[in-house]
Amino acid sequence: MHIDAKELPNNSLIEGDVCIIGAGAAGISIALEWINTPFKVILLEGGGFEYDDKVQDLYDGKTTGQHYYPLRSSRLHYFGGTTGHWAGFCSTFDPIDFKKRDWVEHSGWPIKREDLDPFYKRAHKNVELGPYEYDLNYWQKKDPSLIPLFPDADVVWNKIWQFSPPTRFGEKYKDTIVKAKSIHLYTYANVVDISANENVSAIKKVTVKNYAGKQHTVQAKHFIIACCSIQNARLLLASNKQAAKGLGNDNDIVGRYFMEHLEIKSSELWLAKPNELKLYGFTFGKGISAELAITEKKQEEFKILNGTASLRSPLEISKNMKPMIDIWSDKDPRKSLDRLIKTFTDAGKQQQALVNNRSYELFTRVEQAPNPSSRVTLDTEKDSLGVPRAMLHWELTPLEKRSIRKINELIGQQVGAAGIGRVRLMDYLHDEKDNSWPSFTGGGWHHMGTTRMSDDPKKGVVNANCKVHGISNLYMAGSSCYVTAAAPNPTLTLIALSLRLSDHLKTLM
Amino acid sequence: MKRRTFIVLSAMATATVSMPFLNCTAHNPQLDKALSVPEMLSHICNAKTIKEIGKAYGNKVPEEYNIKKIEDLLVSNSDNNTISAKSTPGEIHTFIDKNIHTDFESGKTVIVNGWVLSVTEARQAALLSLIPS
Repeated sequence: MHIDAKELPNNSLIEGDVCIIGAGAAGISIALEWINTPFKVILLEGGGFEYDDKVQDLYDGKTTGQHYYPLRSSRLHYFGGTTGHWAGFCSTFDPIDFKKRDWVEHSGWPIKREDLDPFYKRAHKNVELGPYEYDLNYWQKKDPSLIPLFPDADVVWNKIWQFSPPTRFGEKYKDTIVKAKSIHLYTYANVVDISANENVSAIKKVTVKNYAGKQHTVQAKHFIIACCSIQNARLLLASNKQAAKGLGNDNDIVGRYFMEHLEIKSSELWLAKPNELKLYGFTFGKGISAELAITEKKQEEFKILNGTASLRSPLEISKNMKPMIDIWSDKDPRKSLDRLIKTFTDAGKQQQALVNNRSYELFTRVEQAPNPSSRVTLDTEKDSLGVPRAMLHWELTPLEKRSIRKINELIGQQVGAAGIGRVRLMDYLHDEKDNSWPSFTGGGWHHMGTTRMSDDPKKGVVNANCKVHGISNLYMAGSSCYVTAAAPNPTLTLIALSLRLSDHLKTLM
Repeated sequence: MKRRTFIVLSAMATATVSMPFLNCTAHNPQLDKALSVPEMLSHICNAKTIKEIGKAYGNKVPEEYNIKKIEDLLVSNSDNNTISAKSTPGEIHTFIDKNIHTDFESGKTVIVNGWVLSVTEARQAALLSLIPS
């Protein structure tokens, strides 16, 4: 069922069993799980079914610290959320990503990788991936021409990625959601405030507004906030009428530990003989690809963060490409996307014309160390619905840079040991004492952290079931719950985590 | 990259060492020429670049940066195996190649001008930068 909240009589009361705030990958994945149940699920989406610039503007905000993309264009604000322009890269987190690592301060999830395995498998269906298989041998049996630079060993291994078509949740699941009797989708229903009971131990209602001037109230037994990491934190912080620091923020953690993936060109791979590196190539929307990853043992030995290096771009092409941080500079996500597509389309044409190539760019994606100073706060400026805008302070540490350097050095050693070529680190990595970042440093548009998971309320906003500490019926869904960022893009894992949350909620109904 | 010049140089060095040696002292110009060919780098870079790498290695490890010292370091390995001016080109190639592989396997590497190199081949580049063209 679909209702446009602009068309409802002002001050309508909407009631249900579960209220999901946000209809992106997390929110829609949860909603799909409640179809054909006897429960009434209210799914609130701030935008409509199409891009709407007035709604998109609600995501605008300032950034400080490490140069970042415009907040206004780094997430999409309509039904389907940012899957409306995601590239479909999927892989699983590694077991080490969930562990407490003494060299990575604030690491350690209250759940393990195996806790997510059954949900990863289910998440595969949501994003239309192939079999839940990430072992190189499996894929080599299907296609023997997928030859690694060197076999998996105790230093470097080949981490497999699968590619979603990519699934645009807005297109793929609109009809299913709209036709579902148990799902009540409200578009143009921006949550602007969350109200709790007197002692702030349970949520009573949320207030929604839209630019048509309408305001409504939503009441439910359980509330799930699934608006993306920055907006999840913003909504908790802005709901500060009953709790001065914001809901769930007694210990000043909401908004902190914002994480991105550092995605940055890092070195050159020079091969003695031309090689197409088919295993490491990328075809948009299908198949698999490998990236070079560092084993758990070596991460521990060298006390580095987890990261992988891709080999998708011939050096001849990548050296002329503008960095992502410069390409994606427009506040209008449509314009930034157009520039990105043009860049990759041009590069793809050049790559097809390239023969006997033997040099590639190593492009490293590394997790950002959890850092309480890297955070989302509220600005004094408010959006058109009266909610304080988000401010992002993105702050990196020397550990990220040391890790990138070591990851590339270790890959260089393996390339050398295999006798296939040599690796040359980029200039910014030459000086071990230099902790500065080059101008082309960028992220992957992957927002994580801000409502991190911990069994200890003093160390996290939500518990292992994604429930906000101290509030009995409020849950956070999505990558805001991540404790660490791992190397892969967050979408597959956030869907798995959301499905796990959904299963947990069902046990409570 | 422009590497034609260096490949010619490499071929000349290999040919030179195949000549019979009358004088087998440790410091031997002909042996030096054979040792100063980092084979993999020669497939990737030109001679000028390799010499720059060699000089940079010399700045990084100044105590090694003289012909005699580097030659001494290159003609023996941790297994106490050695080569000399009497060694055939094949023996020298095999010896150096094995040492480079062992370096990479054991993490005995050095980053010079950004290149992740085995210490052995970095020394080869240093030797190239020191011997007369």
